[in-house]
Amino acid sequence: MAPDLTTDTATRDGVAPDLHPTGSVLLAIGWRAALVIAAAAAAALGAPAWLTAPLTCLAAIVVAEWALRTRGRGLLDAALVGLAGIVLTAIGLGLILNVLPPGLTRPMWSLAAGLVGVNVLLAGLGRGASMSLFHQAWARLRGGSDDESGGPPTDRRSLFTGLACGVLAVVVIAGAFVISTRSAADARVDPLEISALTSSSGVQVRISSGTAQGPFDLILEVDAVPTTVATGVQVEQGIPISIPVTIPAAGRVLLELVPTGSTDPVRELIFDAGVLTAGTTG
Amino acid sequence: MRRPPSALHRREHRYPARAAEAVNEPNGNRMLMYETPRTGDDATPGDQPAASSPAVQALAAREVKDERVRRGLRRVAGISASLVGSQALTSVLGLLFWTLAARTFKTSAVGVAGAAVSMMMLLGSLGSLGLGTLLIAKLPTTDLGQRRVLVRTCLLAAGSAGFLLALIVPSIAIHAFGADNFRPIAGSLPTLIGLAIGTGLMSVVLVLDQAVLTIGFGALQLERNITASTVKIVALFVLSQFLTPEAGAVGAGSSRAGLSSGMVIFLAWTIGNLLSLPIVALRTRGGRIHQDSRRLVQPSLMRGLGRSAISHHALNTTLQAALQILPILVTLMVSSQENAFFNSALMVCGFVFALPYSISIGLFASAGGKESDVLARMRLTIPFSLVVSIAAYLFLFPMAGTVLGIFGSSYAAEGVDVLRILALAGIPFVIKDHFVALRRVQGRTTAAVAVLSGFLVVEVVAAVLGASLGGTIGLCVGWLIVLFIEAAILAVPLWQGWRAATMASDSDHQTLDVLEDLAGQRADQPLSLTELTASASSAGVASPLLTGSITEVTDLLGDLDRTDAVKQPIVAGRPPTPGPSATESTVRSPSRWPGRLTRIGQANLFGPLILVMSIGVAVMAVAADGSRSAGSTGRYQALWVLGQVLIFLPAVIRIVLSRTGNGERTALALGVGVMFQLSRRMLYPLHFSYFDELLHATTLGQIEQSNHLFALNTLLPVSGYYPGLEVATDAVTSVTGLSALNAATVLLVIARVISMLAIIGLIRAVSGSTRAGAIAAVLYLCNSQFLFFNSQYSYQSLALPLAVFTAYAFLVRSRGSRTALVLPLAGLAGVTVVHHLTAMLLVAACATWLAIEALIGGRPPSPATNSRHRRRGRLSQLLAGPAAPRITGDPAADAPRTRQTRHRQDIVGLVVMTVTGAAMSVLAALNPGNPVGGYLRAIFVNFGNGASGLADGDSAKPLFSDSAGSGPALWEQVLLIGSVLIAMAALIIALAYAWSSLRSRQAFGLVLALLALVYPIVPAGHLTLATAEVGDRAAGFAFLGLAAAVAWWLSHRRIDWRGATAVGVIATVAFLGGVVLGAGPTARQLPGPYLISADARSIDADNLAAAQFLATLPADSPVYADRIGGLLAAADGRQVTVRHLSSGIDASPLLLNANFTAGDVDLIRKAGLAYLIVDTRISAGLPHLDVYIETGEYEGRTRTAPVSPLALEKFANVPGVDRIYDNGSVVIYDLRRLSDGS
Repeated sequence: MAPDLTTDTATRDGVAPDLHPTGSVLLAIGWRAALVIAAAAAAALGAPAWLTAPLTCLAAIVVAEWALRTRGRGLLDAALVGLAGIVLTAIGLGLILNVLPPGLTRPMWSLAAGLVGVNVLLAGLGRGASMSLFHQAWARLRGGSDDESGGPPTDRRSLFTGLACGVLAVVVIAGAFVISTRSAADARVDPLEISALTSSSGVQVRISSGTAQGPFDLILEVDAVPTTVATGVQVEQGIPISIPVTIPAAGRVLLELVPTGSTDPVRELIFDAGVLTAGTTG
Repeated sequence: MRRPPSALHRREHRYPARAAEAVNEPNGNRMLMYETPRTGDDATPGDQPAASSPAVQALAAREVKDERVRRGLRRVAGISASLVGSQALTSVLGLLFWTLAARTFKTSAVGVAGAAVSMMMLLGSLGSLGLGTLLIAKLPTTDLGQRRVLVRTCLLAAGSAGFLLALIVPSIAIHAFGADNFRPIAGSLPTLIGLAIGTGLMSVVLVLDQAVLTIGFGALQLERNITASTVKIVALFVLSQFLTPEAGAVGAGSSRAGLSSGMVIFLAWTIGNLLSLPIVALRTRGGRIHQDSRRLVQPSLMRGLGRSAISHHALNTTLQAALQILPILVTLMVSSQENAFFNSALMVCGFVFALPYSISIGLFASAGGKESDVLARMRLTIPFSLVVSIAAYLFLFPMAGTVLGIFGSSYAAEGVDVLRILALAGIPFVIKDHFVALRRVQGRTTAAVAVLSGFLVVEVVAAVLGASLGGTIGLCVGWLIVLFIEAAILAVPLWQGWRAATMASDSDHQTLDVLEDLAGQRADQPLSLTELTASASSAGVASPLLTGSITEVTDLLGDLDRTDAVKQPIVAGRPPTPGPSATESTVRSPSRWPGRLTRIGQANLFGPLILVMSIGVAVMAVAADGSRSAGSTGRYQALWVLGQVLIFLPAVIRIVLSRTGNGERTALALGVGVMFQLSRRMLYPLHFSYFDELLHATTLGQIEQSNHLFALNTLLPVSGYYPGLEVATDAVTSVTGLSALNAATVLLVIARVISMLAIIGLIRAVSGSTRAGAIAAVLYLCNSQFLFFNSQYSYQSLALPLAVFTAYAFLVRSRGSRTALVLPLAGLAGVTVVHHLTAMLLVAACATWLAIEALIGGRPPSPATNSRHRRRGRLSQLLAGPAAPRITGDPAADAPRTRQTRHRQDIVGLVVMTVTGAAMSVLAALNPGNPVGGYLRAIFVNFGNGASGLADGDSAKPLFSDSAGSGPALWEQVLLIGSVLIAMAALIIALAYAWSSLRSRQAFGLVLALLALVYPIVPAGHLTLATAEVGDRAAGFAFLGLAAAVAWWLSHRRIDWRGATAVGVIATVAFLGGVVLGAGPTARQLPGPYLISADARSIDADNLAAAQFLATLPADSPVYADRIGGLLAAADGRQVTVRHLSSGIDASPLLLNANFTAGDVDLIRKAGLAYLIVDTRISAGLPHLDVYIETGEYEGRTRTAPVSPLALEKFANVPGVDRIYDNGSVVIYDLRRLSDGS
């Protein structure tokens, strides 16, 4: 018969009466602390996300599990308090880091999170060994429970079906993510852009597009007199073209991007060196 | 473990004479001569012949069993060969038929004939009603005298169904749907009747072909098919000479009869089928001697078979569906030309797939309904089929081009890769087909249909995903991956069945040994089987011989007549109570439907349902994908809603059901919440896209840039002073290395998990029922803000879950402990840092709770509660339900002293929570620069003005219409109204809950009920523009109470499938209507082309490109833009967007006034504007969300027409202003010289 692990009494029964840290407790704390330190170090050193993300998640889970295994209010409570505790701890740490000179930098976050993790583990030194929440979950799953948070025993076939369906569900969700991301990326096609960046060396005109376009002529029009700056400009997909242009210091200048053979500009920049006078406003 | 063959040899050696008693039957099958011990008075041990000794019986039994396996395999091989041969030969002859048709008739006539034959095949298959497969299952167990009449009855039923279908379907297609293309094949009465007769015949031959398999005439099917194919070729030749319009007078006659040339080809096909039937009659005439009825048909024989037939039919259809759907998908998603290559490859693969299918049908047909036979034969047929499939693949891989070259060189060039991939599917098909054979023989076809239907959906989803990613090749790969996963999953029941059969076999061998030994010890004194059985039992041998059902025993002993078997003394050897096998046998009986449904209902369905939910998410992704490329048309809206229903409805039904396990309920409620959260990423997966998301992304960006908190966010100044959400996100990005968007997604998923678990825990703590908690959690999703607003990257999305968690932590705290309030206070502090309003409402809730607790908590529950409850009428019981239990399940809590202690502890705790919470909120508000006071005051003043204006008779905002004049479709309006009505009806339950809580002195229950009563604000808020925002925000709070009340009411009732379905449908209407109420029309929920001031729909490549350009300009420059342009400039462009909310400067005339005035220059200089961003598209219409820029903008209250294009172009002519950016939609002006006054 599966143990009743849902009540305070049951969990307290599962706790060894000896309050001195045993070898197994030290070992349990030791490997968890090592994991926390490794995760903090990886994050502080700027390791790639594929390494730091799973490492941090794992460290957070084992620390939270260690902290909550003797709370004795069931798995739902443990999951809830664990997750909320992590979020609240992060918010609290952020407020503390804010008053420190370096502020909320990645190394400071890593250091602070590592310290909190190790402290939580050390706080459990005084208590005896107890059944982990994972074991409790497994025992409940296999043995069933009559209490409100449990259910009937789960046979091997149901476990297998659940597992298989879970794997398939993850595959389907991943597929949905892929299709969604690809679709959104495909739908986002940058328009034909023309821009001007002024620097000490002059004006750089930049032309770019998310699709191949052209050919265009770049025409500079000063006082209604057009001058071709560049002709046959072919814009390749995602490859910007920079063209230096000398803009007269006075007067009104239009810089037009015109399809070759046409007179209608598709894009237009304006450089007006004039001065606003009272008559120009309505 | 299987026993080595040497054991048998050893026994044969020990008992040569007895083993030799196995003699040959006249028909070539070995048959054992034996007798069973008699227990009658006339039977004495001395009378027993030596051959009747139990050991010999056992030996003989195994001999028979081995022989049956060999014989069965021969039958499987024969049937499979017949099926494969039939397919190969009919394909070749079919090719000949169509070649002749193509050379004799015009192309259009061949096209008409092709369509007619396709329709005949389709409708004929539907018309067969699964009776062919049913006959395979039923004939072996049908009395010989009734077999022929049963077959005839089935043939008549199938023929009639096919005939009727062919009459009805084309007529409806032509006359109701205007499918004029069908007129040549069914437009006139003669052609319609001809089509109907042909289809009826097709149904008949389809059923017949399967029926003959099981009565031992595997080759008969082949013969009939060859006859039909040959006759139709001859008939076509003859008809082409006499019945075509080109064939003179006779041909003219056919034209007068309404027969086109195409239908002449069809007629030839039908003649072939018709003339093949006498062959069957002739070859099966020997069976007439067994016939005990002269009736042609006997409909009563079909009684009770309908469900089984439908089940088989569904299974057949499910098996074939993927192969029929894939070409359609290729046509829809890639191109019809690609489908030509794909179809050709699929046709070639048909030969590879045919073998495992034929073997599985042969396995089923030859088993005669015996599971053990199928399992025994699978040991050979599975490896054999796998080897053949792999060999076929190895052959096809190098030869793919050559094989496809038959169709043409382009097919060889384009289809070779497709063929190479598709042919691999033959391998998983082996497992799949064997699984189907096993389930058929077990009579578990419905379970198989359920499993395969689920897989079919996944196959199609994978194929769609694959096609969208990699065209035809992607489709094949996606489909194939799922097929292999299916094979891996389906192999498990096969393995388990095989293992069970092996163990049973080993057990039998063990039994034989014991029996042998016993018989050897007492050779001179033969034992009765009863004695032997008892002895073997005492030796610890378990076997069907000893404990199994009669069926299993007779299976083992051979082809005993069952009636006789019942009379065997072995029955006496069985335990007096039914053994496990008997029980299982009873449960697995195909006729025990309710039992099976009960078993399914009692199983944990979390796995299958989470798969359904994930498919719902995938469907939503497909809807979003289609909407991006083709606009949010009705098809994609329907898919979007379907996805939501798939996630929501099954879970609600399951959670509400009384018999569902609590663990499953909790997991399902959690799953629904998380799936909906994930579905958000399907809409805009690449960037923050909603107004509030961009506001908070700006704050997050400021923290990342400055590494410190409390910077000014000009778009929403108050958000910078409540940075809990951004701090947590920054923590995730820092310690995991994830991007801001991904970190935000992780955090929101965590928030959603907290939210769901906290609601479950909270309601469980109040009601004492996990069921109530799970129901409340899932009903909470019906609030109008759930799917969009409260799942976006906004502070309320985190604050609400933390607030519920705080209440939970307070309720379940260890009273009396010094640390009892640590967790609730931490939660309260967290809420205070995350969101101002939620924190204040939480403090207000604590104060209300305190007041109620102080008023009623100390008193004992009303003494009249129980007695009155008993006296209540049915209606009031229905409304109020039983009184809710106290917070704890501790029985001692009922004691007055304990109650008083708890009351005092609650009062003290609530005082601490209220005072501390208020102090924390005040402290946060006193943070220098925090504008929360003014911000909230403005909101509530606005709300008050709107409400009082409405009361004074001011015109309300038009219903079902936004400021641009667009609104929800009619069906969405119906859902919306339905949702509001359902919620209003639930208020009655909330009143009952309040009354119940009051009577039971349950203060928090009363708080929840009061919260529910706030609900009317939600729909009423939408009556004016000023009140809409407050109304919307209230939904997240009000629904907590509403969900708790309804959950309390439901959880006290036994709800079966019907009730749960009704609740599920009502909740789904409330959910879908709530989504429309909170997020607007479905068309606007989906991505699509640019809309003016329409939140996420206003973000597109053009304004994102402009924001990217802004990022190249000096950071933190003051800029001005419309609503979305300003957001993007701050969030992506790293600029400071000027807003009236933060600066007190209303610069909207710069964009909205058509004239350039001196006031504009003053505004530019006052705000120090460096750049002006102009989206020229906003002049194309009115804004969807009330304003172009912000509340109080230029002419905002009186606007009836779109902003003038002149207003957006005026800066092109202002001296000293440069236009430095232009992308066709968005232009950016450099105002720095104007701003400087230089």
